[in-house]
Amino acid sequence: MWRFLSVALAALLAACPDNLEAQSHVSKLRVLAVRADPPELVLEPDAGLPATTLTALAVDPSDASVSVQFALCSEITSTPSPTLPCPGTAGIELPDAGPLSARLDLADPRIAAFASQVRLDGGAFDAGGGIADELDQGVPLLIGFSARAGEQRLDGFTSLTLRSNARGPAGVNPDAPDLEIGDGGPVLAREVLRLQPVVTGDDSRTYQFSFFSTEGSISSLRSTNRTATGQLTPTWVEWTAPEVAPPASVRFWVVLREADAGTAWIERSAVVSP
Amino acid sequence: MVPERAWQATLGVETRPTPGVFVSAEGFYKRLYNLIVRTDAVETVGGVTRQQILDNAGTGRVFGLELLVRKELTERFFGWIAYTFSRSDRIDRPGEARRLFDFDQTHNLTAIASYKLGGGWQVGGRLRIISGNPDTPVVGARYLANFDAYLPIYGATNSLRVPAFHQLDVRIDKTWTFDGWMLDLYLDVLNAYNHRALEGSVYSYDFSQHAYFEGLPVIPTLGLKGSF
Repeated sequence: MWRFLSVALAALLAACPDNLEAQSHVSKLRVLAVRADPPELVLEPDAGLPATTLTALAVDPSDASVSVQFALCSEITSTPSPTLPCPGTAGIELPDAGPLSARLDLADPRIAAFASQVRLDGGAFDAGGGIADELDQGVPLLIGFSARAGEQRLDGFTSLTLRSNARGPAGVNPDAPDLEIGDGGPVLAREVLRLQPVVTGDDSRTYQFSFFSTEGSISSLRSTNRTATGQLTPTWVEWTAPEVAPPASVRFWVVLREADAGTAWIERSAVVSP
Repeated sequence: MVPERAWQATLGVETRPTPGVFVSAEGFYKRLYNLIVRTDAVETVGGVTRQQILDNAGTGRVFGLELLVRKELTERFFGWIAYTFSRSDRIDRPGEARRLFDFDQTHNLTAIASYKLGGGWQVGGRLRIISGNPDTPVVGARYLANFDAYLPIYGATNSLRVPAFHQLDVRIDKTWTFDGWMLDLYLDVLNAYNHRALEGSVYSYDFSQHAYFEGLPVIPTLGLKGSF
């Protein structure tokens, strides 16, 4: 008994650092999500090679101009080495489709050459050696990206699946959610409000939400609409407004991720009054 | 895989330079072979090719010197000072650089003293100064958008150290002796000068901020013990 109490007391007295920034707090250049539209590449025998548009939710609270460069990495994996130079010498740079977007088109001759090298091109995906089976299962394509805003830089990876049509046509991304901030009324400093994501699509699907804000604190980075056993569960989190009303509006983002790799997001803002 | 192997050699001397004082010194060297380490190699067993995951490619060594000076119990005073210098390192694969073992403690100094003041009073203390544990720095990170998480980029293994640990514990006893039993009232103060030891590293979500877990603060304990 006394030993147990001693251990419990020690655990209470030992201190965890509380000055580390929370992931839900956006104070610098961040990439909060990457969306591929469509979210997977599906090889159809009688159609041309598939393509998708990649878009990053790249934000900087200082409102500096943000740009993102994407590249298809030459490593076939969904668990990359963090030092893989992609974009760089281990990547094929993808053409821009906007300041935060790029186009991945398997018909691009550089990508076709890479696909041929690793035997993933549409014309050869049934060339034997088990590649057809692998494509039925789905092959992860690794995409590297590099976001820049002034002197800031953030590198990362995303992956999307290249597969045959054995499992049907390409999936679709969910609709962008809405975000309710409290009851929609004025927000006061130090007030605690619910952030409630609202999904307009099929609620039988399983979603994971990630919450971010430029000010205040969020009780939990993530929530989900279903438990591990499939029960519906509340998706709101609590946001505590900052102690002092900031001069600019507080920006909020909620990112919705679906189990089948679909992604959507929305941005909202609120003015905090003293 | 085969069992890990080691051989060890020690050489020591001890002497009593004056009555009640004991001094010893001992050097040691330990060689480690066949240490189990991770590998990227693949093996084919029964026609099935699979990742090997672990093998016996690791080697290591531990060497050092222990010194002890002990004042044996006389009427009032007892104490000893022990210092160990040791070095423990490993080579994970042939051709790789030698690295510090995860729990290497290069310097370890412990001093203990106890003094009987008379009238049933006794004071004692223990001072410990120990090298901080080796630590592997995180030098960068990559964001994994599918998982909304960051992948750390590690620097050289165990190339940093957590700051040294040092702590003084003090105890004061007052004993009353009765017929057939004794009563001991004591004040035990752990970490008497309230130095919060730094126990290990913790990072922010993107590994851009670093801090340490802090150990225990000063902990006074007042107790009563009956011995029959």
